[in-house]
Amino acid sequence: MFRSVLRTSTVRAAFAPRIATFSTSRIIANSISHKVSKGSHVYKYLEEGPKSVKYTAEHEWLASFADESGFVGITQYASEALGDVTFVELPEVGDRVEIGDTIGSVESVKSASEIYSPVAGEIVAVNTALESEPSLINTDPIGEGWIAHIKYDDASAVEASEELLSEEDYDASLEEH
Amino acid sequence: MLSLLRRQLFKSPIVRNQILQQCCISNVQVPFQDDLSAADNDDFNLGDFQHYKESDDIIAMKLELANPTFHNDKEKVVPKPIEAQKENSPFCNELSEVVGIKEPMVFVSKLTNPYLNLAVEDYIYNQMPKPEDPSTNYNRLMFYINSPCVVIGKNQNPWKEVNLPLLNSLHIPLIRRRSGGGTVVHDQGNVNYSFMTTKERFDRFTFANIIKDAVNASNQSKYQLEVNDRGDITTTTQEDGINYKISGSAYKLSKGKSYHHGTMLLNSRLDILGKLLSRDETKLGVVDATNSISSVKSKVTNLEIDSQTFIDAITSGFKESYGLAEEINRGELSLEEQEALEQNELLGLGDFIEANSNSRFARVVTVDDATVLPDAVNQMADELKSWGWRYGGTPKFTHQLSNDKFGFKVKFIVGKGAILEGFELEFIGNESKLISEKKITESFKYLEAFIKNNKLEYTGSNVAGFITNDFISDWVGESIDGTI
Repeated sequence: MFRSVLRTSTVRAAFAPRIATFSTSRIIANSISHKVSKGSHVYKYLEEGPKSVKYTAEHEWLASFADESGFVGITQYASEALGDVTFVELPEVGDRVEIGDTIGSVESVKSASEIYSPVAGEIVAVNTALESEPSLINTDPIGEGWIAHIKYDDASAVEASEELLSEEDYDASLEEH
Repeated sequence: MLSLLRRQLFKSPIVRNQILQQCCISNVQVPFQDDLSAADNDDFNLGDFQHYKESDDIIAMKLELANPTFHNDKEKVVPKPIEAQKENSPFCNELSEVVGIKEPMVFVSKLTNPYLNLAVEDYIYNQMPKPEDPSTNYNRLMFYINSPCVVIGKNQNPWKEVNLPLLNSLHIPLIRRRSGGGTVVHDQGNVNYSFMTTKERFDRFTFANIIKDAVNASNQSKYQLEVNDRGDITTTTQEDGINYKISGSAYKLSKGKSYHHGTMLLNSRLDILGKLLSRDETKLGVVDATNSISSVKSKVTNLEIDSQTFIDAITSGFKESYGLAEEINRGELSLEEQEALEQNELLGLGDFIEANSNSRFARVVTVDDATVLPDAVNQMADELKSWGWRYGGTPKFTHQLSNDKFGFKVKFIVGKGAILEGFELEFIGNESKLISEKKITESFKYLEAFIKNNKLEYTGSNVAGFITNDFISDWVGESIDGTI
């Protein structure tokens, strides 16, 4: 149902890569926000706020900060498509990750969904609040529902990455479906 | 490679066998099916049933009785595994050669080792090619039947979900799968299906509806089925007002791919299923695992059709929905293959075959003991077998055992990787204690000292081994998992 609503749209971004959307529950979303919520730990991590927020084709978001680190979570679109999150598997602090490595998983309504790292680096913090309150992924996916904080190996590579989408491109890719 | 496959497709009894009476060696002959009463469970070493297998001679004799035409001269020239002869699908020599084929495909596993089946499923899933455009599909459907085992969801706690002492006494393996959801029991009366597609096409209802429609249309089962709003396949409402669940499903989503797999209760031993999943907390302790996924208990029943009928019906449903529309191009066939086709036509069987085959086509590949499995499958099976995955994958929890006779409670604190991190003793006000508080505390000293500096995996025998009082030690080991 969700998909067909989105499919009727004719908006198309010229350069956005094709993104696989998926719908595991029957929700109708009126509006989907891709912004980091203002009051959250992520937003307040550094005084000046995130330097940039980017998105992946697998529906992760990455909020980058001036200290060459970033927070990763899943987008509101993914959170709504998955339904009520009942368990979050977190990575270990100190783990080394490469682009595309699995850094955890989210379980919702009997489905286990893998989360992939959009960057290379080291896990410097994980959101342990999700252990007792996994529903934060539903209530505030791009904010208090962050999953891991990663120190980048190469911040300029993150900056230049073509795999990471801007808010406009990510949004357009969703509308495409 | 392709031509090899095609040749197998036609050389193997696919065409002929569609005409021949299907002869099924069903699980009806296994004692697990009929011959054991509920009383057997604990008293008669029921674990042995999982090793029960009819000898090849008996199987061969049955086949011959049922269908002597199998033993014509042609069959004798190319001997095949006996079970192969009843199949109407090509056998797969090397799994790695077929998993990447860019067509919708059906895999039927004849393996019964649950670790291998789950590893093969994972491998087929990982190797499934991604379609280049949305109008094509390379969907996979796999069937497998496991020897008895208990399968927990990815993020579950086996101490909480399963009666581990009973499981261990029956030598039934505990398996942790990679998809979410709750605990299920597999046995030879249960067929597992696995439907794999893209992440984009994933939803919880599509394949459940295909199964429902296929079973209902077959008119073979005891019940008509429906799909509820959770995506569960149940019976229609019965006279007692209950919609009995016959299938437990679970899902996994990964990069660009997804699968929906599930159990289908056809002729399972539901009494054993119930016993393995129920635990008496007064004896086995209270497991507090608020962070892990709890199973939802449902009333279940058997569909009561044989497994081959079920597999055939769902395969047809899959072909109708996802099969290729085009006919196989005869120009590409070898001389031998064309001869095979012509021979059928000469015998006037062409129409018969056509009338009985689907209008859409999907390759059906059988995986059996003779199939060469890639190393990746064996590695995955080893990983699934490891204690670190099966038990160590449990989110942290506590397990409190209580003993009125000894007058105390012990709460074990179990951390990541199911490593024992600590314990708390609590004495229950009881005058007539068998063992004094001092002696109880003393008997745990060695355990306390050991876990301070060492990683102790939380098993009954590990923990019991460090408790110095034999009575307490035996009781703790029995309660944790029945190993002492």
